[in-house]
Amino acid sequence: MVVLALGGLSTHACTDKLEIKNPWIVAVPPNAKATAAFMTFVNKGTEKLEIVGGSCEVAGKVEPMISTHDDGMAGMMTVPALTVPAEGEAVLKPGGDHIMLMELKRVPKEGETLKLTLKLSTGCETTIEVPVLKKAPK
Amino acid sequence: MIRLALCVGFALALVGCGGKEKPFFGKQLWPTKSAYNFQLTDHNGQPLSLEQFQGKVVMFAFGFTNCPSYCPATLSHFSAIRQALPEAMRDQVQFLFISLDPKRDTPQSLKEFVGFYDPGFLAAMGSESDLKMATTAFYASYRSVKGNTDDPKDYLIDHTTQAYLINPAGRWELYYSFEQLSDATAVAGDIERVLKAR
Repeated sequence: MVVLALGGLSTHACTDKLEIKNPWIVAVPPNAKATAAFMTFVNKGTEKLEIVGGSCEVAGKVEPMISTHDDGMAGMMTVPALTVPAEGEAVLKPGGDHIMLMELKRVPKEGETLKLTLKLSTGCETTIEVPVLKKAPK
Repeated sequence: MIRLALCVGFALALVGCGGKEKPFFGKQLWPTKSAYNFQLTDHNGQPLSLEQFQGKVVMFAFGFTNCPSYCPATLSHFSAIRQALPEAMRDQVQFLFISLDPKRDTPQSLKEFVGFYDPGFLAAMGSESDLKMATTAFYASYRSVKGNTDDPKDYLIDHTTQAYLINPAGRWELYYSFEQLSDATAVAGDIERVLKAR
């Protein structure tokens, strides 16, 4: 397991096929029950990868979620997995797909860095260090 | 059917926007529309109506404090928009978050929520019927979506994510998609222009 931190850009390899760029966890108000983690997944392999969940020290549950748009309304829905296409990318961003940190044991503080473990359908797990920010890193 | 009619009406209200001036960044209502004077309760438990902000620009959005993605991002965008305004104009704009979740949100939870983004932001809540009238007036919609457990408080709320700009004369002039809100400089430019046109 190798974690590289280059000027705010965190990259981590999982079985050398999954690269994770620009991860961040949303800093939320002190009474928040949940928050979201965003990042870009890059699949360097020739088969799709599926992110099925994970864990984080501050959350009781970590689940993949998608944003839904139905009747003009935006919503969210837990899904079994977020798919990263073969040799492609999956961009997680506000208003889009995300990793949801639920049942918060404490609210992450802006400026701190948390370890987030992501689990793939292959059984592979990867742990990355993720900054807590109010808005997306530039 | 009703929603379809509202959408069509909304679309028609937007037809003809533009004019000789450079278009606004936001989507413009032309002619502008007298904004529904909602009657709610603010996060300090005081009565709040849209009318009380006459003379200022009001920018508001609907949401709920248990909302983990869109609502925090919207308020974060509001904060960036306020910062992008010339300092002398910041107090001439009232940012407002209207809760769609009267069952779980409280004045205290709303105060903590909006205060995290800016101490000058206001939040408001109302009864289901107050919210129905306010959302209908702004062509917004929402619905509860049950969570995975039997806990009656385990639900999310799907909702439209636009933000609305009411001009100092109390007229609904512009609205923004969630995506547009991320361009703080452009939205602040619209607000500055609306304020200068008073």
